[in-house]
Amino acid sequence: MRRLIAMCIVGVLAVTLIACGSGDDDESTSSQAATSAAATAESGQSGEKYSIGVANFTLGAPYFIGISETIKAEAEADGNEVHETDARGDAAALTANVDELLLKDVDGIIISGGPLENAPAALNAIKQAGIPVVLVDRKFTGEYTSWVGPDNEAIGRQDGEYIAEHLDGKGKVGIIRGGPADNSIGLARTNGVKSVLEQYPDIEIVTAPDFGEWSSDGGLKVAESLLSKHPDLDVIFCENDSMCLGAQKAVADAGKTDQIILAGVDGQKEALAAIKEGTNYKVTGLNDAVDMGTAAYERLIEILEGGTPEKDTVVPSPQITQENVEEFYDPDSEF
Amino acid sequence: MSASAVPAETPGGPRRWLTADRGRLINLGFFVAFVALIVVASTTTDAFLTENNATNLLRQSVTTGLLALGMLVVILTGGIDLSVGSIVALTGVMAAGLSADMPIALAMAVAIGVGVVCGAVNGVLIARFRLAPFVVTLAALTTIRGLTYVYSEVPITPTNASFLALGSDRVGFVPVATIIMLVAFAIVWVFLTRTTVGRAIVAIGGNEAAVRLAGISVRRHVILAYVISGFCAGLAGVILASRVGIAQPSVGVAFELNAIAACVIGGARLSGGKGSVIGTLGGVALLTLIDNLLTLYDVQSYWQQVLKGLIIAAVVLARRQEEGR
Repeated sequence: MRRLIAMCIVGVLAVTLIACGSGDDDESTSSQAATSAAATAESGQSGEKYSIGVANFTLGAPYFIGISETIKAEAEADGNEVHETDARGDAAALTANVDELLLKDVDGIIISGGPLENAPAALNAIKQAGIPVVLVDRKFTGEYTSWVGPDNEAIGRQDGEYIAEHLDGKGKVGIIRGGPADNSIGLARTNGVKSVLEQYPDIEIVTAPDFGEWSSDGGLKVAESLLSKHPDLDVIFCENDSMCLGAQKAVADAGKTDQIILAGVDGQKEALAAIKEGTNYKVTGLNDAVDMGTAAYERLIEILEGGTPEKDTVVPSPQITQENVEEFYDPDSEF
Repeated sequence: MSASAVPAETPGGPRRWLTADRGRLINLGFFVAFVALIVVASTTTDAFLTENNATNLLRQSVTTGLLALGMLVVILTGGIDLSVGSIVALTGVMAAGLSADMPIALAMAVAIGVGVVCGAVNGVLIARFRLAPFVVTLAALTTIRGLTYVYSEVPITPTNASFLALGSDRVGFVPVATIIMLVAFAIVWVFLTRTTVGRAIVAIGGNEAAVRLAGISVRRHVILAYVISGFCAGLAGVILASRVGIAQPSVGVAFELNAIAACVIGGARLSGGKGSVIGTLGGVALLTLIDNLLTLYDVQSYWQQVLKGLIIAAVVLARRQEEGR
């Protein structure tokens, strides 16, 4: 008898699952409507309503969540239908999610490919379905309709130029990398920094052998080992702001706040606050989730409306220092 | 079903019959729940009962299916293999990487061979040096993941388009990869129920001492179980890379959990000796169906994880009742 009860639990769960599915949908729609009321969506859309799929490679980081949320808010403000999926970092799941979006007859798909390089099977399926696909942030090497995203190497170069000027062409720079999970973005940023610094023969570059894994605690740990091996550093560059905030703590703990400055990437709120307060955190490059999400959404709508925009568009990533930080700092920002 | 691999410790007689009956009741219950789920799904969303979605489901089940199959053999010996997710990553990037310099079939075979070697190392450490399977395969999980990144830090896109054939070709609406998986299930079913070696593997999990007394080499059979798991993981890795069209060194994290869940849902006992090939296939189907439905119903990602966990817990709870208390 108890077995039957247990069986019933399974059955009930299965039904709840489905009820929850539709229920959750309603809920998110209403809450999104609330957010989107505040959002101004000026996409110049004609009367027609669209169904849009947003396939995320991962929603495991604030930046990617920000992109996806922005697209949802903008679309719902325009009265368009949005289906969002999360592959949790699994390329096969992303491919399956795209198939599932196609089954729902969406008019177009936005792929936020995170650290992924390419997804040939997913892009093939979309191509066969004959609908447009807009890539946001990550540019795949395969066939796609349009791409909007940052130029990570350019962001790195901006930091490199700031560092070179700060050092007056002479000094020692430590580099903290994020890690393999997001490697090519990080590589582009580091290569950007290096491409500038390597022009100066008196600037020495040391790269930490271990990865900071994009987090503040990771950055702290890697910076500690880097500092014990190279106590004479003048600058630490990190591939993102989270790690750099951790590194700043390590520098302070080592009593080297006056000796070492920090340079990051992303424009994370806490980093901007540190820049604003005039600490040794000196520079970052803006890589804004809301800008990215808006650009991707508007690009897809433009294509669905019959427009033929340029294929690849770089969303500008301005350099942020103490001089212009006020323009960008928003203490209420989600990122 | 689950009675198919229950020798050794059930002595026979009426009690055995009762246990089998209970198992049958549970399995019937699962079957009903499964059918109910499919009926509800097909009446509430148009997208579910389409040929394309059927293909999706069949294709999505392949990775979990192959991993669960290998895992089942290991679990039957009373062991566990936590390294399968990492083996998927290593064999995937190796197949993609090697395909640049050699015929694709050879590259894939070499990669699968690497999976076999990984399994053999696990098996030898566990059987020969009598180390705990959990610890050995946990060490292997991180070692093999590290080796994957050593081989390639960045995802590898195979240049030859026919690399994608294995993962995307179909016969009718049935993907070739699914057929391969089903053949593997059939082979393992025959192996475990109809061959002496297979039966010995099941018996080891039931009563290792008795098997030893019977003059059967426990060591050799345990090693074989891990080799089979390594082979299945290698095959899964190669098929996955081919399916996606890109081999990602970070792929496969926590895949072992899905594989273990599928075995347990299918009635396997983690202490060994009991488990069913057909039940495991059912577990794989259920997990795949859950993922598919949650996405088709637009359930938000975090809720998907919560619901999936609850469902697994509920099924295992139901299974526990079957153990007869």
